Amino acid sequence: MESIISASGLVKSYSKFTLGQLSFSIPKGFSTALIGANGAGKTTLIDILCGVIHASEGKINYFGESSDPDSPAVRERVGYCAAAGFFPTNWKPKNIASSFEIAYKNFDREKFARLCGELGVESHLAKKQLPMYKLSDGNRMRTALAAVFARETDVLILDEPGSSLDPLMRDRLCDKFREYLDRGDGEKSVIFSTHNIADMENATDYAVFMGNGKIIETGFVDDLKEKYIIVRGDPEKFPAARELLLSYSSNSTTFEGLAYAENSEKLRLLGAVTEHPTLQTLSVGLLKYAEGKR
Amino acid sequence: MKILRSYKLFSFGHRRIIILAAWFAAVAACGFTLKNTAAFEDFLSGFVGVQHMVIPCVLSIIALNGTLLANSTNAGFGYKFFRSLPNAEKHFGRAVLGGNIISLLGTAVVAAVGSLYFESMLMLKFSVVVSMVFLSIMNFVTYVENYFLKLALLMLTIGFAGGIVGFFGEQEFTAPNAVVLYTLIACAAVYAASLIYVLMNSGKFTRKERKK
Amino acid sequence: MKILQNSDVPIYKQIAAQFKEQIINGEIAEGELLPSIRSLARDLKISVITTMKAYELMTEEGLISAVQGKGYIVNPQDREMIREQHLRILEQHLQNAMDEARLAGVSPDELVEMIKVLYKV
Repeated sequence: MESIISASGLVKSYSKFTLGQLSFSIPKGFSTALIGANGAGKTTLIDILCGVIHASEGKINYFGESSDPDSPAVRERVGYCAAAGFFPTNWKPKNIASSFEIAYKNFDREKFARLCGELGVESHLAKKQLPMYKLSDGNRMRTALAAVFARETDVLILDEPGSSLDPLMRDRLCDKFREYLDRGDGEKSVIFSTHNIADMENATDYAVFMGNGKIIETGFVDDLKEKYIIVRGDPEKFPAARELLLSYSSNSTTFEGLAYAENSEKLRLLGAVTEHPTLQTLSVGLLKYAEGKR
Repeated sequence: MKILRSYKLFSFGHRRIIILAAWFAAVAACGFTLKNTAAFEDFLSGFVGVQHMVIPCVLSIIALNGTLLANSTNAGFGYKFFRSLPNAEKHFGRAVLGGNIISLLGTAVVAAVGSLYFESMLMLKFSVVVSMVFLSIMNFVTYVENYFLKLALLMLTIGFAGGIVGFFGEQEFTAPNAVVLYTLIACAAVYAASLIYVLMNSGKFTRKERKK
Repeated sequence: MKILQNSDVPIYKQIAAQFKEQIINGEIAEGELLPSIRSLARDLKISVITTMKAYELMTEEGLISAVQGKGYIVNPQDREMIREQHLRILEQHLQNAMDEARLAGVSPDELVEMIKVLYKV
């Protein structure tokens, strides 16, 4: 599978937190979710990919062509949006439009206005525009997304785009992702981070699970759903089942956990029932597993 | 043009500059209408105060510095946008240059208009000196990210400016020509150094990282 | 096309089954181009990988084939043969039904009656 962005041996060290070593390959033509708890390193990784900060060690490859995150050619092709406070707080939509026009070759003002309309926020054409600091988090994110979508890009790298949006808007965002992928016909890709995958599940093809600065698991969602099972059983069998479970919770009535599908036969012999996970239950199981290993 | 565009990318100071220019034009127009009237003497002593108009010229740099302060990694706003742009470093270098050019143009305009009124050029030379000192300070503090330190330096610059202008604004003030010349040269040198410093270090804007 | 998000049948199998039905009864002619995987994902509001898997399944079954640079087109179908296959599966299921009927003491007439009733539902 061709990759849009890949990395090897990526490390970013801070005094209290270390990201890495990370090696991964994000497939081209799909929508990839970076899933992890708060503080897992998702934002740090995205910031490195977009050149906001620079890795201490390791290499990144963009589009199979360049390995320089500062290369203007790479940045023209990357549509990046940070989680909060992406724009200066005193900026109005018209300032955003002017700045994007100055900074990028392929920004389309009319498209920006249209997208603002679709996402329900004021554009640079509105008579009375409010500065960013007067907007809610959700409206700020919508304005930023409209600006990023108004550029002609080959990959979108969005940090927590859905977190501040209401369910209706999140659904529209998923539609926008699919539209973008469809328009690229295999050439465009989306990478986004989230700590709540439930609403974005059906716009996710590939998942990268992160915990405590490391990658726990990667893969196409359908394959991962086959690879793991959710197990539920009677509490008296829990001690015997425990060693087969990656993560679990138990009480006096039942136990529940995540296990590799290859162990399903053994678990069923212990009287447990098994089913394939949804992306949401898989996330919870894997993140708990990462938490336990810490 | 590239320089102005880059300046605009960081700081939307157009309206501010236009208002200042209009204000200054009004003051200058007053001078011409009052010339050869009894009130002209009073106007002239007032115009010395207009040296504080030199300071607004520095404002374009102050505005830029304010933008940087508000969008530093400490503040947590905007810096991700600026840093992720193509040619972020070049844009920033050009923006600083743009701020300096606008400030210098302002100084030149004040000096030119003033020279129409004053017999002695001393006061005007002095405004140029003051302006350059301030510009130098502003350039040197560009990469200071500490809120308190930067704000203190900004306030000091503005306050200091008023003080110096008031103190030397006395008409009786005279100085030997040579001293004035040397001062001018020295200030120009310091200013040039500050400009080189700020331009050489434009990478600090895009690469300096907050410790976690 | 109708997709159930929370059914026991995986979504890709639902998609494949519905295309298969349309291909066999001739609604989609041979040589016809199916929607691209990404536009189908967009229309059905599902992930790209799911539609991809559905097309893979149909390719394995010989219903469609991938054409470089164009997408997926419908293969010429031997409808008689496909019908034959289905009849064989049907016979097997009927055999199972009859075995159960014997165990439960259901007479052939009653069984036929049951099938008639179920068919209407």
